[in-house]
Amino acid sequence: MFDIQKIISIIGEIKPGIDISPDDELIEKGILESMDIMMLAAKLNEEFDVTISPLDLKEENFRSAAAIVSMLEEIEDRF
Amino acid sequence: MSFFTPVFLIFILAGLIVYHLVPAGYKWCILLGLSMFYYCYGGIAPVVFLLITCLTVWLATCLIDSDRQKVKQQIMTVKKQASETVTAGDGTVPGADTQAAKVDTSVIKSRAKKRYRLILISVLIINIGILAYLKYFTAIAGFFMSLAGSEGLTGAGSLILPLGISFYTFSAIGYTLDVYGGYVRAERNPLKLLLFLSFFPQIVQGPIARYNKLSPQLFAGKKFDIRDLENGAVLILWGMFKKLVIADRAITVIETVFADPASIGRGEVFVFNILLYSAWQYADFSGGIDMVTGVAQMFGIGLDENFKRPYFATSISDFWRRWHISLGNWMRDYVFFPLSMSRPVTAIGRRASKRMGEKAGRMIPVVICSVLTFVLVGIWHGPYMHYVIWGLYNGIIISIERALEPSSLKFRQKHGIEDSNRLYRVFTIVRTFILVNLGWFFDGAAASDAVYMLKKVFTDFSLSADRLRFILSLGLEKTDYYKLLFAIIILFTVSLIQENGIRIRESLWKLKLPLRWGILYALIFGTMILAVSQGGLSGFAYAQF
Repeated sequence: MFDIQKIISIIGEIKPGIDISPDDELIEKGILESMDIMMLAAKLNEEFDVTISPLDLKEENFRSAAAIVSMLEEIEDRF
Repeated sequence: MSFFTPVFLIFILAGLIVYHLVPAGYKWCILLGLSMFYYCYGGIAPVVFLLITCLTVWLATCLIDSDRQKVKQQIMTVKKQASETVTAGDGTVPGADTQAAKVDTSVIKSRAKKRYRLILISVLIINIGILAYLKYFTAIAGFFMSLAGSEGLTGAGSLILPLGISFYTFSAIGYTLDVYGGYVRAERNPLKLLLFLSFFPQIVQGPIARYNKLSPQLFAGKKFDIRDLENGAVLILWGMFKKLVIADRAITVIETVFADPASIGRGEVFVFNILLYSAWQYADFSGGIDMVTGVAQMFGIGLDENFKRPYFATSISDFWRRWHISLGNWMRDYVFFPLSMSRPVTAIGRRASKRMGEKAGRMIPVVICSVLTFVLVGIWHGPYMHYVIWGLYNGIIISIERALEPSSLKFRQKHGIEDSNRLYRVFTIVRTFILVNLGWFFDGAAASDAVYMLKKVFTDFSLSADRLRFILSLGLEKTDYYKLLFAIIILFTVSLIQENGIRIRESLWKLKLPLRWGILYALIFGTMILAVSQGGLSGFAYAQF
């Protein structure tokens, strides 16, 4: 189970000062760019002990905090 | 088959009639037939390369996918056996079998991944090899031959580039990587895969397709919807306006200036030319994409957006989220991210963190990956030094932007400048436009010519009436310049409306009938009247990629 509030807090570490809710558009609103996604993936790997691969770093997986949770759950089940 | 010929019109009309009459389950066959006819129209030989790509990718992805399903079954069996042993309580250490099962499944997965990696690498070598050979062989061989003192390859020695090879190869590689990563299931029907790669509206100049987005639409066989026809037709018309009125007119001046800059030698002409080049690039490429998207829409298929009013960008990063979006996204997902997470780059980041601090540790990998990715974008455009310089320039500017972002934010916060501040927004748009145009010098001309022209811009620039009159000797009459200006103003106005969130076609259908048709007739007749004559028509610039 991936804590969405923890994910929101990690996003806040990368982009200080922003206030987002689970379904806010992160890519379309320009909150996260490619480089932010990179850094976020590295932090998520550390925090949740998952292996986010480069092919996971797609826009649709990072479009919102809720989408990030779905991605992490899929990674857990995927082979 | 040029989009501007009667043959193409007949081809589309006939195709639409047959497509919409056929039952849903067979519509994709009609699309495949149309795509193969379109591809082979100019000659059958190049289709061999398309078929090689399709076959190698189909085999590889089916192998990986089939094996993955078997391995998943194996893993489930191992886990089931382990849990049954623990539940049965046969005297073994509780949880011991679960641990053993974890090790077993880990070994099974690791061996499987090795097999998939081998298959993937083989497919990448074959298809990137074909693309590299056909696209770059002439230039590279010519380079080595010139070093040896002989002339470069010409005529029979040059290689013919199959239609859309860059676009369908990238689509194929993306699809293969997606199957390799377990994100999509392999397409078992090779003919359906062939349709995905060769779908005729986009084979000429993109957008670069993603399998999970395009394939459901290709195979769904959408029911006939008059609104698709209407929207598609309007988009085609708009694309034709951009291409025939702006792009095919502006190119006359651009070709004259780039052909021999030294014979012109005036900074103000080079500035004027690069502004025209800006307009031409956008009108030609986005106009073509509009037509392609419009044609696809008439068949009920929605292609990804490839341009989003790029000259309204507020930074170079923003520009690349608006210009040739499908290429930018492809490079980001399949080059930038894998590079940034690779062992050598993360090792560099760790070393930089230790020696220069956390900020440097985060920035340096980003700089390296940005520059390398954009150099690759440059090389994709062609095997010439000026494209490499152009790519390098973009990569460096983006890296500088990123590095300066925190201090820029602090400065704006200190002085109360909001991002939504109109004046600030105009400033960032103009700044970005200037930076993009500086880069266009290296996109459009040979490196030495670009340097020469830039030098002249800063050392020999005058806006005197006498000097400006020279512009009338570059191949266009005064009336052509007025038509160009008028068309660019229309384009700018439409873009501004869209940038403010108004969806033009939706708004168009809501207007009263006389006004709606007044606008459409104005567009139709305006394009017919203002378009360059038949002799002035040129192909799409990106069709040669």
